[in-house]
Amino acid sequence: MTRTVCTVCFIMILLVLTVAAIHVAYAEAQKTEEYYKTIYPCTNCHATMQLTGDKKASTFHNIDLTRGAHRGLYCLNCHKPPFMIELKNDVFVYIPGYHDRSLVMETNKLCATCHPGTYEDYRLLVHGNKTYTCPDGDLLVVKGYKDVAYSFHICPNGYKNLTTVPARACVECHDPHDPVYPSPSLLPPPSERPKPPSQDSIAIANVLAVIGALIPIGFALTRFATRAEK
Amino acid sequence: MSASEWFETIKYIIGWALRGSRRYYLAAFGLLLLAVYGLYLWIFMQHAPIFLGSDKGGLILTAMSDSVPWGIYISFFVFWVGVAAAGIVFAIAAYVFNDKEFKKIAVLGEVQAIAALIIVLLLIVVDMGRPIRALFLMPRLPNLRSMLDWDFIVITGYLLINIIGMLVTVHYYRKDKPLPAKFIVPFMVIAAPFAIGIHTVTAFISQALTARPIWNSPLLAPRYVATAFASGPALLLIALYLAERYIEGFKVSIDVYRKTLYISVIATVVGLYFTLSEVQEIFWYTTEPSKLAQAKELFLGLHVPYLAVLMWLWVGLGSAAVIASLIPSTHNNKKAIVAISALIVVAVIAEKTFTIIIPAFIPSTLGEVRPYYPTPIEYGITVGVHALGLLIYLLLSKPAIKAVMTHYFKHGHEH
Amino acid sequence: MIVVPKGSLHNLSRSVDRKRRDLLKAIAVGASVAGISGVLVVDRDKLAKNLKRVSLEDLLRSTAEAESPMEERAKKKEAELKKRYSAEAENICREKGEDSEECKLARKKVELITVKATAPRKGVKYAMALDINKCIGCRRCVYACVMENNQGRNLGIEWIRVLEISREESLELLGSNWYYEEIPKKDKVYVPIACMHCEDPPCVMVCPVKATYKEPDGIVVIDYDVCIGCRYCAVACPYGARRFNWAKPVVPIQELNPNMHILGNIPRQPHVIEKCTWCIQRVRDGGVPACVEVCPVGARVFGDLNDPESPIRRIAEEYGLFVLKPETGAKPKFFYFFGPARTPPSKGER
Repeated sequence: MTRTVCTVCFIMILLVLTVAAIHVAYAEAQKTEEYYKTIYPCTNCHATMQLTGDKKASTFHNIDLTRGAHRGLYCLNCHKPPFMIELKNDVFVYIPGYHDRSLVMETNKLCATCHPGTYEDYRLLVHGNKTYTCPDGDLLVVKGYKDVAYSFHICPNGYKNLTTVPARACVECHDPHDPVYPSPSLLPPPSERPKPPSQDSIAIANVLAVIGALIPIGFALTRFATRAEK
Repeated sequence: MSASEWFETIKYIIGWALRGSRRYYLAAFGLLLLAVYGLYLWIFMQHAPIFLGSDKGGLILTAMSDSVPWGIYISFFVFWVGVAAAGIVFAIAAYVFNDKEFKKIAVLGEVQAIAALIIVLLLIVVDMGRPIRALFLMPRLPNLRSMLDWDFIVITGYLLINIIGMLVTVHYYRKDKPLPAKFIVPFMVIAAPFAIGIHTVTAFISQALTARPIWNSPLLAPRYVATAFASGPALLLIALYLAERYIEGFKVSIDVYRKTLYISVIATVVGLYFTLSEVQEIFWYTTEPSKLAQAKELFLGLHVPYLAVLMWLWVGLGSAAVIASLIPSTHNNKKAIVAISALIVVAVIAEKTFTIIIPAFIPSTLGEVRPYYPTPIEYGITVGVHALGLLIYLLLSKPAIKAVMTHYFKHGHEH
Repeated sequence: MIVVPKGSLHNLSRSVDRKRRDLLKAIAVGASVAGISGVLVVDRDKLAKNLKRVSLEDLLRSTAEAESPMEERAKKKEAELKKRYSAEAENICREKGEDSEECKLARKKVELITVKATAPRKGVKYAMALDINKCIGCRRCVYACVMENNQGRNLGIEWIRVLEISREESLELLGSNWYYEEIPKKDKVYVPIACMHCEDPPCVMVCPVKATYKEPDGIVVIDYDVCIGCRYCAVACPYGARRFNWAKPVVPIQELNPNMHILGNIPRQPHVIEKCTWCIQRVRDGGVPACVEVCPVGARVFGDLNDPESPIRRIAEEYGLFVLKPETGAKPKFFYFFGPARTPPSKGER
């Protein structure tokens, strides 16, 4: 009896330790390029791939370069065969979510080889969500006018000293294998000032007032009202 | 010349304005009724949201929009500025050309100018969103690049001049004295430029705006002045005719009618000529598509048919009046002259109200077509303002004519 | 008949006497001090007649006031708005219950309300540009603008208009379509139009009370407390940018933007004019306008023309800047440009 309890305890302790170890490793690995190789097991498959790179499609990631705006390209235009995990320009493949921002921004360099102008625009201009933040600020999404949502900046320490933050990496929005971004939905058509409410009563009142005024004026203009003035 | 004598004059004017026959009271009562009705509508519409704290009301009850920011009020504002400007015509004929017959009625022109200017100012007030704020701020923060301020200055200045002119005339005539030359000369020197000035500046409000191509023509100010000298004297003739008819012993020679009609008809001809000139400039070939679109709206009435109706009414009635005045027999008949005058007045109302203001907004600067049809409340307020103006015309012309009669028609026969 | 209690007059005279005595004492003491000190050139009592002692608090307050009358007004407005909206928040709390989300949000909003009067920064000249090749006409800027700038929800006020214009028509606004239902079309361009913040603004020229004016940083603002509602500016504007509050504008507390500027998005009164201010409440403090932030394709560019590093300078150097309706002579500071051409995706291609 005690033995089984001990075993369970031991296993649990082991489990906890493993989880802790993974956490530490995860946090450490996040800062290094090695992270991909240790935690995210892309390399496990890619190490055995031996891809030639002159292809246009892959069933593995559902990649099809025969359509889309990048249909003129082959895999090796961007990827380094045979493993495909590394890219040209000493950049690493982008994997959504688990990595340092600066690493992701590095991938932009690859895009820049073919789109130098756009890359410069991206670097210097406001592309996508270049926005402002305030210290301890938060976003509050409110559905308002015509049911369109808008995110308000909530700055509890006052709306002073706002700073703008740059946008994200190219590939975060544009799938590199099909880069044209689907166009967003169209919001409702514009509106003008509302139409004035029905004013039939005022129209009737107008007619009555004019008639009411014309009766004495009409009398004044006729011969009936004559009386010599002193 | 003491202050008490002037005080007596004011008392004289008020006294005679409030005294009269039953017919006089009836007419005044009718006009007052309309004026009070208009005032009620105005308070309900404009002041409910500001002063009375109500959520109802506001300029939203009008048909004006961001595309058509000015409507019926400003349209009639332009017309009455013209009428006021022409008030000086009789005074010029009387004092510059020293015509004795015109001297009898020069004061009537001044009274007409006062009444027209009061209509003008009231129309601006009812058009403004915050008139009481304007009352305080316009003198405090004048913007001398704004034509509206200049217009305000010349209109109030001209109003003041006409009030002074009328006061002085009544003051001397009621004591059977002729007007002194030391008054007439400076009065004419100041008043005549002001008369032209009010209408010119009113045209300048709109003519320099590059945003509104149909207004943006140097012909606009001459056009305004031309039709002003058509409608103003014509309206004066109608008033004169009514005065002759309803005031016993007040008779004016047909010479006055004839000469005034000449001015009016010549101005109508010039106005028609200007219209022709504009039409040629716009339709022959213009390179400005929005100007062409606005002109088409004006002459063809694609979206707002009443504009085309009014425009062709002006051309038709104006030409008819000119042709009628060419018939020699009309010149010796007061009734015929007054009928031609009425034709001219209607023609100029057609030309100078909606047809001046509304085409500039349809289509708007961004090519939007938003038709404008005034709402009943706008009509009601406009009628009320006009009733108040006519009431003032009636009340002031009474003592003015009385004073004139004291000087020129002693004991029932001409002096 | 006024009954004067006995002795009151006597008391009065006594108190007067005391005052006089005190004064005499003070004078005597003052004179003696002056005499003893000897170094005083001017009699201190004589000085006291002409000079008045000022307290430090008063001094500080008055100098703070003198700094900016606009700040003072902003503070007053803030108090006014807080009062008005807290009443509305209480109403919501009574209806929905104290613990409801709506109630909490409303209270938080009231707390957050700040009305600023941030002055323009020196040497800054703002400008905005829009890439006609990029804009897909999704109208997101229109709605972000409405929400950000507290535009009257009941009046249908929208500062930005998006025009759909045929590509072949050389940007002729006359036949433009405002109510398009499908985007993006290949043969169309989309041209958002709002206030152009002209260098030589016709609206400023015509305003009879100087209610609208150009600030040193290039933003054309309206002082809502001065506007008299004559709408002359709306008539003079070549770009149809101005909107009038035809009735009392309503902005519910839930949708209120608490970040306000007195010359910008502060809730308006009835019968005043309003227009785009380039989100003065954001840009004066270092942010970007809401339309720039919300644009999904990054067609809008905002920046300081005097700063060589600013995005707008990049546009000017790389693509060149174009203005709409140059014939009006207003010299807009809102530019259009043609970025790298890209075809909008069509259904067949995707």
